[in-house]
Amino acid sequence: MKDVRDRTHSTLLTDMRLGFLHFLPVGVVIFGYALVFGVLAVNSGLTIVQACLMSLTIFAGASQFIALPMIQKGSTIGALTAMALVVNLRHLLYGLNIGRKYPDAGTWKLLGISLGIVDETYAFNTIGPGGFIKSIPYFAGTAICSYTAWNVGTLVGAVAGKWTAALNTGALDFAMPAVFISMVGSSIRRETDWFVIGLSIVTALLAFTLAGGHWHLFAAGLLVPFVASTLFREGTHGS
Amino acid sequence: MGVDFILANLAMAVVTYLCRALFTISVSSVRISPWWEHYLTFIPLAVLTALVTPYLLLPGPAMKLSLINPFSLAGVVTFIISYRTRNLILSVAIGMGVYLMLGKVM
Repeated sequence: MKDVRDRTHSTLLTDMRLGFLHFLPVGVVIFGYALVFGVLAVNSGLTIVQACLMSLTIFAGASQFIALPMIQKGSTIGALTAMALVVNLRHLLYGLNIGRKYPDAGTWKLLGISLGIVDETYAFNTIGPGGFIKSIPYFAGTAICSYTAWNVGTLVGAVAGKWTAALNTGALDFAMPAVFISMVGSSIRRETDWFVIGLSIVTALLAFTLAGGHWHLFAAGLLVPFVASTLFREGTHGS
Repeated sequence: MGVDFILANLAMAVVTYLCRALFTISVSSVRISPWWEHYLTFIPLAVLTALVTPYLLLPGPAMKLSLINPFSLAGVVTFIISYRTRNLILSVAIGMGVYLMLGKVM
């Protein structure tokens, strides 16, 4: 019995460690973004503790960046909460895939991994290199790497922020898009995927131009799969 | 640190977490038809493509449609390398290199 427990414990740690290590290249990019957030936060008037508190509790890049000018202008709690809701609604879509990836996990484990669902961990664990590994500890490893990178980056950026107001972030502009593009490119396995990419680009462009915000993610994320699964039945598209 | 800041922070954290957890726990073990299973397999690719599209084709603060710019060209290079090699680090590194070079000449 002890052996079984030890082996299970060892598998759990091994999977978690693997998830952490596999995710490290993405973690480096997240660290870079967090650095910029820390610098901007203190230059927007937040203290180092406030900047770190935001990253520790919210852990969502886009809404944290958008919140900075809102806080600076004295926005109300309601306005900030509404903004966070709208910006993070896309996580509802992410939950559809992440939840179904672990059908045997109990509610508590799913509530736990929900803490670590961000754009990068979602991409990595669905169509990225971790897409084929259906292990909760593996997902947790990627999430811990992501959370650590985001918070350490925020702290370093906030501490250095006073001296690096003119930090040149040009090189980082393309880092995050590059990570997502790379995950999209390396995930193509079916002929249908080309159709999905093409239709998603057109849908996103139209929705972004017409509605702005993050609505293009919903337009593409809900409409394109509908068209694709209607046109291409499972087994009828190339592999 | 003001009470308002702490409350705003907590409120933002709570709504963000609810968005993450709601469908993760509610749909994990629900039985759905093969059509919906098939539907769900397309969501990641569609969402991630949509996520990067404005970066590449509507760059800069003006957000005007532009097919030829440092973002789109570096994006194409990153995409081709990742498709051919399936190597995340290599494609991101080369893509960023191309972006930095193009930023200097365009």
